[in-house]
Amino acid sequence: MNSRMYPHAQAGTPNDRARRLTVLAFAIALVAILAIPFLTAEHADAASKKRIVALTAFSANTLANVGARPVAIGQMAIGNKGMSRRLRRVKQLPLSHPNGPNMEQIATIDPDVVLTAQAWRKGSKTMRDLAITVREMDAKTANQVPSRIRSIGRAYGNKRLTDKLVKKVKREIKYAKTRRPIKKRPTVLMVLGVGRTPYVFVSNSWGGSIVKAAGGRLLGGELRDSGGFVKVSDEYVIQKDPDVIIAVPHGNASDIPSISDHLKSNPAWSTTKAVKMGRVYVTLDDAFLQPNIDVGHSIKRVRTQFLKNW
Amino acid sequence: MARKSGVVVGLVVAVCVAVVASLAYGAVSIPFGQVIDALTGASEVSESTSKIVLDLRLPRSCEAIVVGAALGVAGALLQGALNNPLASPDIVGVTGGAGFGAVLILILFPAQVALLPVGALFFGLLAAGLVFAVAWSGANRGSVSKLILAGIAIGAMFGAGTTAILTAYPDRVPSVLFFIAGSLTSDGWGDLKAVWPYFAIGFVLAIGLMRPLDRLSLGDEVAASLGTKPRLIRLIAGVAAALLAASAASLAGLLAFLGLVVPHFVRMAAGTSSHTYVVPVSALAGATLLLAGDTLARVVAAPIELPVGPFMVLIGVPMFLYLLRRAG
Repeated sequence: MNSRMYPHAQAGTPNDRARRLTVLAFAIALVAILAIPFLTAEHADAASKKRIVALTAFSANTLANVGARPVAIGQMAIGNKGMSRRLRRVKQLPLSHPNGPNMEQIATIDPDVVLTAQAWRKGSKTMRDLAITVREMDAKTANQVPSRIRSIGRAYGNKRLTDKLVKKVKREIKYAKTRRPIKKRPTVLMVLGVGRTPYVFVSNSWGGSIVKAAGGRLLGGELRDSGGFVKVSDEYVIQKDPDVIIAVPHGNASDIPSISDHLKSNPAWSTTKAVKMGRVYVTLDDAFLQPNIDVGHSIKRVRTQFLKNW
Repeated sequence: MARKSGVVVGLVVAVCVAVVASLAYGAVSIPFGQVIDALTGASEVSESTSKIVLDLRLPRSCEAIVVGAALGVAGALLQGALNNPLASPDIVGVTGGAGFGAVLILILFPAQVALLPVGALFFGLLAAGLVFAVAWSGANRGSVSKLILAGIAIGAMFGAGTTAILTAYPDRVPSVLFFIAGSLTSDGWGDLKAVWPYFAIGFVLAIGLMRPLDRLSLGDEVAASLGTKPRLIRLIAGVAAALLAASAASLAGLLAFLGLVVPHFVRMAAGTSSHTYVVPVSALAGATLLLAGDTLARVVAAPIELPVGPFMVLIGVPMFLYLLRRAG
């Protein structure tokens, strides 16, 4: 071929060569970028092919946000409140003590993995006998949330989405803790239930960890119990004299005023600063009872509504 | 005679020691001098000390005395009236009914928790009323075996209701654990004020029943020949026991063990089955046992409180087994 006749057919001028190399590099980069999700999703795909049952709100919401869809989730006492929209159409399994889900239902669903919690541990053995992998991966405290999300996401979800979710949760926790510096650290008594034996959230409870993250000094913080709650003496409450009392009772929203009155009239608590200053709060929010991924919002809510240190 | 007096003196000393311990010990360490100052109203006592002694420990100690005495007396009355050593407040359905009432309030109507003592009392008496209604109707009315069988059936019915509620609301079960395991509370004088008339009626009836029960222990025919109406005495004893046991359950939860064991303990220790002795001394023994158990439950893991039921058993059973072995 005569290069003079077809000047453009030549190897080209340095400018042309540079332009071609640029286009080639751009194309390679484009292909590489497009291929990354497929390459990295290999592990995630393998994981997402697993049939997973998430019995807890924490594990269910985590899976929903890291690109994995559980085949069934535990039926939450609070209904769909606080649950990811992606889980709306997922089959819900009623849970009851002490086994958790009905084992016949579990056997019918035939999952590869069940993400459960300590409360349902008695049923774990039966599930293992059914050749199901059973794991407890919920966060126990507010500080554990990012690491537990990462563990669940890496095992069963998409890595990129997992890292994104971890970053988001960390950012929200940091915002809730440091956006406005904590200047007041009131003593907080957080009680579960009502009746004559309210239980106190201790330091290793989920609700207790949120109060501590929000800057509260948890009354009973030196106590530990495997369940996270203990019945403490009213004498101890009087001695510690909490600034704030937060009650998380059972019941309906319409019960809150009467429950609040009942707590305030408790003769053992009537001399506490919390009652005298009118800082007895009643909340039905499940966010203080069980781990969830929007922990940053819970911390901020405790600071703004209860501790007043925002 | 000396043995009987010795038991009474021993129990009086024991109850005094238990009262002092109950007022002196708790989750918060308070020097005994300050406890006395708080009780006598000395001005130099801090507000919190005064509150702890006068509003928490004192009413709780009084509750323990009244509840322990009521259960001891209820057991003695039922064992005497039914001539059955296994009789206890369970047998007239009171425990099952009171448990159902408490669970109903705590789990289904938590906002109405102030009604807990009344609810437990009402359902305890309702269960006993049903038992008496069944036992005193139809053929063979008023017989011991019919009363016991009716009690078992009605108790089972309320027990099933309790289980059904607990199963339906598993997340709320912790709220009722202390009631079921038996536990005194530090709710001040309010609860005691609400139920004291029922205790009073029960104790007055018990005093009036002591001699008729002694006659009843000779057998129905002999008792009838002495002018006693066995079925009527049995009914009144059942009502008195139901009042006492239901009132006790409304304050301290389910502590039926005390009603079963204490009268036997008194009989074996004193070597007599006379109701003029067993009924009042059972009151003393019941009060001592519950007071001691409650003090232990408050201080063993302080500031964590434990239910009193297991501690009462821990104290009572070894003594009971010792006496049982000696009695042969």
